[in-house]
Formats: sequence, structure tokens, C-alpha cells
Amino acid sequence: MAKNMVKETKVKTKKDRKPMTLVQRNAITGYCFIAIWLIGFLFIFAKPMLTSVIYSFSKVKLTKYAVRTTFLGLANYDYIFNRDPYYTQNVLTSLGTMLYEVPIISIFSMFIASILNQEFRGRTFARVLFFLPVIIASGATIQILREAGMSTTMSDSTDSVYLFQSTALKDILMSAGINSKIVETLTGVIDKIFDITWKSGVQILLYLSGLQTIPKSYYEVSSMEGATGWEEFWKITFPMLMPITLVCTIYTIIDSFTYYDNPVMRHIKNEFNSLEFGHASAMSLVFCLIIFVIVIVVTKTIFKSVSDKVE
Amino acid sequence: MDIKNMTLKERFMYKTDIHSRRQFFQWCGKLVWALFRLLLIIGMAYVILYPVLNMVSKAISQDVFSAATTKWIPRRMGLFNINVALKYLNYQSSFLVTLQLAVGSSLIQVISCAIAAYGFARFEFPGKGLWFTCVIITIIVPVQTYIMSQYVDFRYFDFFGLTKIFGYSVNLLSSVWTFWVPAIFGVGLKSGLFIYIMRQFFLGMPKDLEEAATIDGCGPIRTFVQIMMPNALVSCLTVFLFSIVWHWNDYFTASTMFQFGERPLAVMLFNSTDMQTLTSSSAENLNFSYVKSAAALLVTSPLVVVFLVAQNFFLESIDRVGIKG
Repeated sequence: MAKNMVKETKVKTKKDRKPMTLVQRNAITGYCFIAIWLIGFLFIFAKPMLTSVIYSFSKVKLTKYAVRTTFLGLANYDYIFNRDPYYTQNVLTSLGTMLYEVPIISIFSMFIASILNQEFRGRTFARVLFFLPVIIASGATIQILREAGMSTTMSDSTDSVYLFQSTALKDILMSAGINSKIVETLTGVIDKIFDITWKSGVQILLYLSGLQTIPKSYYEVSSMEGATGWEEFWKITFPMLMPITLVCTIYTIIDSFTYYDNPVMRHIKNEFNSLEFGHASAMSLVFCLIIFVIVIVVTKTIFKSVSDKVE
Repeated sequence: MDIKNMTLKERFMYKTDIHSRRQFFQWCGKLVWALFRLLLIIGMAYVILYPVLNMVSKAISQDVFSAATTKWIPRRMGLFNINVALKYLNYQSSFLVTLQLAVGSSLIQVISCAIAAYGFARFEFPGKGLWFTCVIITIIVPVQTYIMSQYVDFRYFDFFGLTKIFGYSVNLLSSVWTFWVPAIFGVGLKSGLFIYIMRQFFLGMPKDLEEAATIDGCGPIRTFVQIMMPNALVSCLTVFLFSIVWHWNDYFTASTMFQFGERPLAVMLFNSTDMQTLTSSSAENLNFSYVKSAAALLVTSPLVVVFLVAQNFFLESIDRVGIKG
């Protein structure tokens, strides 16, 4: 404060102009710091975004020196919804996958993170282990790992045989008289344990770093009061992790939609490669809108209390 | 009641007071939990390590036909698959491209994100909330939405309209500039996330340091460079390492921007159809999936080596960054 006052008087003596207030000066410095980002945001993010919207309403042609667009109206949207045989179906498939993958990954990574956060022998090894998916988390490599690691036959067949085959479990459950649909979903999840483990690397990290921010004194007090570990988890860890759970859930939602294996993304890529920019733009904009709506709905409903606090 | 008439259970209850009995049960619970934890970690280790080890084993194998007895350690080992994969991946030049792309962009990104994050963390200015919401939006919007127009922009890159006056544009496609330009302006691969993390870090720093610097006559830029950055070094290194990993593994943006010429490793790895023709055309009867494994090994091993070297740092970074929602 003192320094700024000195500066203000200096400005006054140097030039006979109305001196800037501290607030003004702060604002200008702040804008200077974000100026580079702002330019980038406007020109490299917002402008392409707008152009995408324009493309989605027009026919796009690449010429040698520039891009030619002719306005088509809603023809592209009409195409993707009414004439493209796969788009709607692909969107529904990926929505369905997201619906069960996101909660499972969130719960799984919270569970694993709280285990990795405990003190035990071999903790470093376990932490290194769970870091591997983050390091190797490339679509191509995972695909190859899955094919190479899982197939028991040495043929070139791409149909992967999963690590855990739950046919035995399926038989038991079926003979126990449980509804076949429930059994299918349950065993489906077990079959997917490979994908889930490999997809939740970053989420585990997020949870681990979130666990570090919970003050140790909370646990000290609760153990003095005689709380069990179970109670500690539900009364302290779980509520304190809610903000991280929100971040994780949103990350997982976006990740599951933009994953290389997502059918919609593959579809968009195909359209893009065949230079159908109009279709591709329309498809990705619609898909982006769906993601947005889901993210907002999730933040405003399930994580209402958390998001209110953050804001 | 005489102690001789008691059953064993009653004796146990009688002799041990409530406190030690409770301790016994707690000990039992801990033991069960430790066992469960051990089992779980072994199971997860299996899921994670099995494919990785299998990949290594396949990469160095030279068996044409697999035998049930030689699942893990191949009967004939050799670098044959690796050589084929090296040739296919065009490893030397692809590696150099990837290195430039990953390390260059990450370095630039750390700096640009730190600058923007400092602006958001320490200064009050009109429209701050709006612009920070925009940062969040850059995290949420998938790159697929705007990559087409970005592609076109880079195809006819005009430096934000500057060279339009002179009527020419530069083709940035298939060069690392397609990654460096967004990185410079803080809107590169996952830049939004990094700005968020760095801002979180700066918010957590005590303000006293900067106030002291200001009183000693240090301008905001000098304060940032000489006071804040040295303190943020650990945070920067975390962002840097993650940025390298994500750039190295990036497939989508890279495959869009690099369609001709030397391409990054992740793109080369993914285009496996060419590999199929390569392997089938070569005279020797080699196994396609083996070559694929070797290629995957070649692509990931530099990262894994970096990880193992910086392992301590990576693991501690989890504790240090402490992201709050």
C-alpha cells in the first residue's frame, strides 16, 4: 500500500495527469498478465469455435488458397439426424456407456485412492503401479495392450478375450434365479475391469491429491472420540472429497466422450477425413452441446451443495 | 462364581478387561482389512502388469508358433520384431518430432499457463469472472468440436490477420508449430487444466512475500519472475511432466495436424493398417501382433524411463499439488 502511494505521488509530479488509483493499476496489470492467454482464447479457441458453427450451416470446400463456404441452412443438421444411419445410434450408445462407466470409475478411483493413501508396506510400489496407466494412457497403446495381452490365441484376430471371463459366475448367478438382465450388467462390469482400471489413472491421482488436503487433525479428533475407520470414511473423508468427486466426475464424463474409442468420435473423424467438414462440424457441435447439458445437469443436481460452495 | 466352573469363553471374558478385549477386536479388524488390501493390490497389479509384461515378452519373442509352455519367456529371443517396428515407425525421425512436440510445447505451456494463472490469482480486474469461466470452458469443450476450423486456420495461418494485409498465409500443418502456437497462447493441449492448477497454487501462496517485494520497489513483472516463479518451481515441474505425458500420447490432435511427412509416434502407432501390409509383404513369416507389441513398447518406453527416473518426484507431486475443487 505504502509503495503504491509513493508511486502515485511520483506520477503526479512527473506528469500533470489524473493519477491512476490502485484498483485501476491492478486491473491493468492483471490484464497484462492474462493478455497473451486472452489473445489465444479469442483467436485460437473462440474464433475456430465460431467458424465451426458457421461450417455446420454451410457447405465447405478447401481450395488451394482459401476455404469456400456456401450457406446451406439446416441441411447438415438434417443430414446427421435424418439421413445418416449411424449418428443418432452412436450418440445413444456412447450415452449408455457413459451412464454406467462414470459412476463406476468415480467410485473405483476413490476407493483405490483411499487405500493408496494409507500407510502400509509396499505403498510406494502400489503407487508406482497405479501411475503406469497415466503414463501409458494412450489410445493406441491401450488398444494394442488389450489385444496383445488378452488374446489367448496367437492369431491376428482382433476380437479380444478379456482378462477375466465371468462365464462361471454368470452360470452360478443364473442358476440362483437372479434376473438375467441384472446378471448381464454385473458380469459386463466384471468383464470390463481392464478398461476401468486403465481409464481411472488420472482420477486416482486427483483423489490422492484431494486426500492430502484433508487436515490430519480431523482424523485425530475423530479417533479420540472413538470413531471407527468406517465412520471416519463416511463422516470425514467422503464429504471432504466431494469437490474432488465433482472434478473427477466431470473429467470422466468428458474423457468418456472424447476417448479415441468413442463411436461418435470415430464417426466424426471419418467424416472429417472424407472432407465433409459441414457434417463433421454439425455432429461435433451437437455432441458438444449434449456434453455441456450433461455436465451442467450433473453439477446442478448431484453436486448441488458442492457447486454452490465453489461458486 | 468360581473360576474353575467357568467355560473357556467366560474365562477369557473374565480375565481380560473391556479395554483389551476391544483392542483385540480392533486388531482383528485391522488384520482383515490388511489382508483385503493386499488381495486387492495383487489383483490390480495383475490387471495392470499382465498386459505390460505380455507386451514386453511378445516384443522380444521370435517364436513363429506359440507353444503353451512358452507363454512368458519366449524360446527364441531376439530383436527381430523390434527391428521391423523400428523400420515401420520410422523411429528416428518420428522420435525427434515427438520429442520436439512434447518437450517444446510443455516448456512453452508451463510458462504461458503460469503467467495467465498468476494474473487470475493475484489481480482484480473487471471481467475476471467471465474470463475465468472461459478458462473452464476451454477445459470442458472437447478439442473435436473446433479442430476442423483450427485445421483450416493453420492451413492458411495469417498471424491473426496481420499478414492478410500483404495477402499471403503460411501453411503450418505437419509441423510442430501446430502445437507450439496454441501452447504459446495458453490454449494448447489441456492448457485450461494447467492454468487452473497453477492458479490454485498461486492462491495458496502467502501474500506477504509479494507485499514485501512491492515495498522494496519491485514491479509486478519482477515480482512474478524473481519471487513467485522460483517458489512455484515444484508446481511447474509437475505441470511440465504431465504436459509431456499428454503431448507424447496425444493421438487425436496430432493425427489431424500431421497428415503428411514425419508424424509423431502415437500417430504412427495407430495407423496399423500400413503395418499389416508391411509385415505381410516381408519375406519372413513373422507375427503381426508381435510387431505391434514391439512398436507399442518402442513408443511407450521413453515415457516409462522418464517416469522411473523422476518417479520420486511424480509420486511426491501428488502430495504437493493438492488440487482443491
